[in-house]
Amino acid sequence: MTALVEISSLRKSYWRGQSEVPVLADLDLRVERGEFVALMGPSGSGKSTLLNLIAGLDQPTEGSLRIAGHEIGSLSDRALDRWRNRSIGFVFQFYNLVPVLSAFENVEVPLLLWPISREERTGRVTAALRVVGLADRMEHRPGELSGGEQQRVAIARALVTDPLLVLADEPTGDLDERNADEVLALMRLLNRAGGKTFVMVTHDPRAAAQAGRIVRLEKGRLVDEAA
Amino acid sequence: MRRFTSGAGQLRMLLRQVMRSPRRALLTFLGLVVAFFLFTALESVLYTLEELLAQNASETGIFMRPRSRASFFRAALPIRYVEQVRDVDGVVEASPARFHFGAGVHEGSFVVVVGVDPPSYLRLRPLEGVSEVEAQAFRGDRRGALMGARILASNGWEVGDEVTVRGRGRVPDLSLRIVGDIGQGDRMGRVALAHIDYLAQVMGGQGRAAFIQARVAHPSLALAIARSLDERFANFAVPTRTRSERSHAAGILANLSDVLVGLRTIGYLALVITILVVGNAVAMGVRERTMEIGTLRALGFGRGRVMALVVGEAMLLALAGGLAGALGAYALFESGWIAVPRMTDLSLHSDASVLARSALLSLPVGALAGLVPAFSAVRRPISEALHGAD
Repeated sequence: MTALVEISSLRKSYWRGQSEVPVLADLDLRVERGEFVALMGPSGSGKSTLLNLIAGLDQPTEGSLRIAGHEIGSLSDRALDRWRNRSIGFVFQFYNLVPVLSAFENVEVPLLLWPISREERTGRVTAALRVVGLADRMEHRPGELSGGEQQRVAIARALVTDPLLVLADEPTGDLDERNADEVLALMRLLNRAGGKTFVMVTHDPRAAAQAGRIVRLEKGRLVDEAA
Repeated sequence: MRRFTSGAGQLRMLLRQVMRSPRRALLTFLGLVVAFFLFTALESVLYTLEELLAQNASETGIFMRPRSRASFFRAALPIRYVEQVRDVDGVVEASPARFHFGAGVHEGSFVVVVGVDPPSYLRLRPLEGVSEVEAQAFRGDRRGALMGARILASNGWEVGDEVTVRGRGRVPDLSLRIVGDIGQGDRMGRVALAHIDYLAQVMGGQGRAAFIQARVAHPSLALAIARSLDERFANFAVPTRTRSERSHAAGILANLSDVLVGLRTIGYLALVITILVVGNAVAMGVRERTMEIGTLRALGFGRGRVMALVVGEAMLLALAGGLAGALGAYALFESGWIAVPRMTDLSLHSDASVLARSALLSLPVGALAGLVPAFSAVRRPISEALHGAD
């Protein structure tokens, strides 16, 4: 396998008044293509910050963060927007769907920035919804879907651009056990059968157990790795 | 084509956002309708005034009045000036006039009688709708009057009637015999014409006029002739102020400028308030959608695109409300139902240019209203917005 994410000597601090609050310190991490990595750790350990940095939603204070060979910190805002749209899929804890749009339209959103024909867009959206098993719920709005279905729509939205990397922030945190299992099974299937690379932040050991590798963070440092 | 389909998708998203809170959208829409209705109505009033003055101003006409503005309604200009005006090279005809302001049958039926010298006046301003028989009768009857069709209609008078135009204040009543009517379509349909010497007999001021109208051979001569006339009468007992009819009309508009500026200010104030109303409604929507906006940005929508969506939302609302309000006012004014109080024969109307201007103004109104919410939408870091932090 080749490295998709290469993080070395990464440091991230926030300023609270005059005092610097370190969140991540001297972090080194590699995520190979096709891997399913779970980031675990207590609240405030820096998991979500790390995920935001990998997503290009935030900038590191120091260190290097390369994804598919691109140094993320050196990209302009505009280039970063375009890179996120093309290369990253997001799955959020609370699904983050647009309530006034149907499942189809929600999945279509990232493709609205692509210069492709309507037919091609429709084909991609339909295929993504079929993969997550919601081909018959396309016209439903989020309010008309269960939590598990909404998260599957969010997964379809993350997949529709065929991204290099899918980042999931507590994807089962708002789901009951049955729906959580379904969503995790879907992510595992996409990873194993589809070769998608996943980095998932979770508190839940059952969710983490679905990953190929578990990385533990504590006080902004990598403390443990387990396959 | 490819760009179009992507744009259509974003437009669909924008439309859905506008209708996200139907009650809020409806209330904002109604606010816009009222504001643009008011704005278009005021602009239509101004349009009517300007058009009225422009219609009555000929390019070859010149207008002479006493230099002292206070003398205008007292009929202070000697009628003998008319002969000297006629003698000037390039002047085709000249005719004196004065006013009698009164009421018809009802106290509110305002009647303006213009006293003229019939032969010269009818040469100067041939009246459409007045037959040669009526013109002949007018010339030959000292108490005869040509009455505007609208005055006839509003007072229930007919040709052949002996009528009294009641004077106001110290102005005496005027007994007139209606010898003809000035057609409905004529610009003089709102006034009555009588003999100036008869008005002088009743009101006093024999041999005096309020103003003298003249026609010159070519529009290019108007300004020079007006100047030469004022120079000629500069050392007379009553110096004159002569202008082309066009600039006279412009002067009347200038005199009304305070009123016009006041009306325009009210109209624009209504629009400023609208900007605040729409801005507030859009800002509320943006605050409620913090997480969604964060998600859009995470998915690759840049700052500019998110701002365009928010501004577009405000512009869409403003355009819908602005168009509805402007159309409503336009339709009402064009229906002819709106009359000037105490001048029932003068109805206000509008024009397609007024409608277009008002409707187009809704776009910058929407853009301005959307700017502040748009900036606030993209100001927050994406990672914060994703958690819905306000």
